[in-house]
Amino acid sequence: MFSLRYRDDAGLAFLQFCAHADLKDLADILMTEKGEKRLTEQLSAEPHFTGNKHDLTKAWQIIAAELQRFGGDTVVSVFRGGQGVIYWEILKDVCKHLKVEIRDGEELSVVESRVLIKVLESSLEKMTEEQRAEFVKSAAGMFADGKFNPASATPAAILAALQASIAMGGFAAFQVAAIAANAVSNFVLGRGLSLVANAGLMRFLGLIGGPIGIAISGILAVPMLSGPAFRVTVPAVIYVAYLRQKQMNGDQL
Amino acid sequence: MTSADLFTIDWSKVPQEIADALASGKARIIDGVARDSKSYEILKHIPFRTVTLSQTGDLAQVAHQVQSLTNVVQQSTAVLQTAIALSTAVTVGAVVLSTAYLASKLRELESKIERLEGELRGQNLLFYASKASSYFAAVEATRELIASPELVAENRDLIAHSLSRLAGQRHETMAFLGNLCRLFDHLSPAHQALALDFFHATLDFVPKAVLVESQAAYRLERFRLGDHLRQSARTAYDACLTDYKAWANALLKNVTRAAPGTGDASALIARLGEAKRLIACEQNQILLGTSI
Repeated sequence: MFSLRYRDDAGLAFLQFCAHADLKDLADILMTEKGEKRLTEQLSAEPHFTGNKHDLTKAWQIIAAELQRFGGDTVVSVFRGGQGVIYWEILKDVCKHLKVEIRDGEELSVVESRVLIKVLESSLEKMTEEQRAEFVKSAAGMFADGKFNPASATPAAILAALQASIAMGGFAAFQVAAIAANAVSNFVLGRGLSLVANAGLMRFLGLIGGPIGIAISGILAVPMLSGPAFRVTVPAVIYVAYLRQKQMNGDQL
Repeated sequence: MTSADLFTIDWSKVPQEIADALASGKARIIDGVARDSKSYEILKHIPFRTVTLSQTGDLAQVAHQVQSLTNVVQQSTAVLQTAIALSTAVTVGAVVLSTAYLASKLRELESKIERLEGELRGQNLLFYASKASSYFAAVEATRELIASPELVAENRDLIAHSLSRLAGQRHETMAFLGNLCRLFDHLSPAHQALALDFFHATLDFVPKAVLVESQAAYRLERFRLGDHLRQSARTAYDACLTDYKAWANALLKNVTRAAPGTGDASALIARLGEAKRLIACEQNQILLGTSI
């Protein structure tokens, strides 16, 4: 078995700015599912990863390399000498799998937002009317005009309002990403996000996490496939999308 | 740098009313004397004691040592916080004013500016680079002039002349830093690396230079001048830091966004730790914000 090698990747370079706890969540998503070690993971055997397990900011490249490897065909990856595919290719595969539009040259965060909206769309469709009304009430601050009427909370109307908010950029896009990433974390790791920027957002995630968590399991419970490992790459892309939004909503200096 | 014997405030001998006045802001320490903040009237000569500090080449280490040595008992929280802040300021200031600290910084700066000048040929910034170099040397020359009361008493005219030159050179240096910051985007990664090294080193040097400048004014008993130039320098320094942070954050967000055609951030990323240390440096804020 080749050891993991990071391929220069503009889509994942920002991981070097992420905190240890955020990288640990990402590594856990890559290594485990519902507390069980993934049979195909290689990260836990990497000395550079295990040697920096208390400060994963020093091991971001090896974590990114594991995601790149999962994104590529395993057999082809062996011929590449342990290198996988770049994040754009992974995102393209995930978009194809989830039937999300992606065009060459698009900005990553724009495509990722579409993936997140798709996840929410599936979640909203599976909610009862009461749960949707509760979601709209809890998420009122996310809607662009701030006055979304719970009475008109059809899935299509909610999605349209969320898309408008995300298009304006800023905190709404981050909140949508946090909702999806928190649900992913609950489904894959059995716990919520480790490091959420503010207590208000954490309370909000607690309020709406239930119904979305149930619905998201449908998206993630894909069967084992011979090609790209969607059971890994779908949650990983959602989590990477969240980390990107988190970084874009904060300053390094 | 090796250990050195330096002065710190002996709080056991500071009268309670003076400690309270310092904590409330009614009094300030100026050139080792507690003075009324408004009238500059002398209230009390501050009692000092000698401490032996190691690692005087690192001001953060100095501050840490002073804080552990500051022994103030049975005082309010406000007095305690003031005592720690002033003790830190006095001793950090003493390292800058009384040891070879500044000279060693000067050597570092000169080597950086020499490399930068080589890359700036053809740019009109070269003129300003030479001005900055003159400023660094003038600061060290002024520090030597105010190193002892005897030298101050004998050379008041020279110190006054230095003060008038330093203010102008400081403005030129800050203008140079501002222009350099705006030039970062137009430099190749290799040139940007040199420019960033120089920029960081100069930004770290300026608070020490401002301490020398303001202390020189205080030693001539030109208190308002000392206060004014310190506040003016702080405003310019903060503005420069703000511009730098805005540029750096925007560049790093482009990396996160991974948008096509964004600039190369490798030089900045390689120096991110240094940039964070500089921006968070408490000692620099103390030197810019506290008279001693």
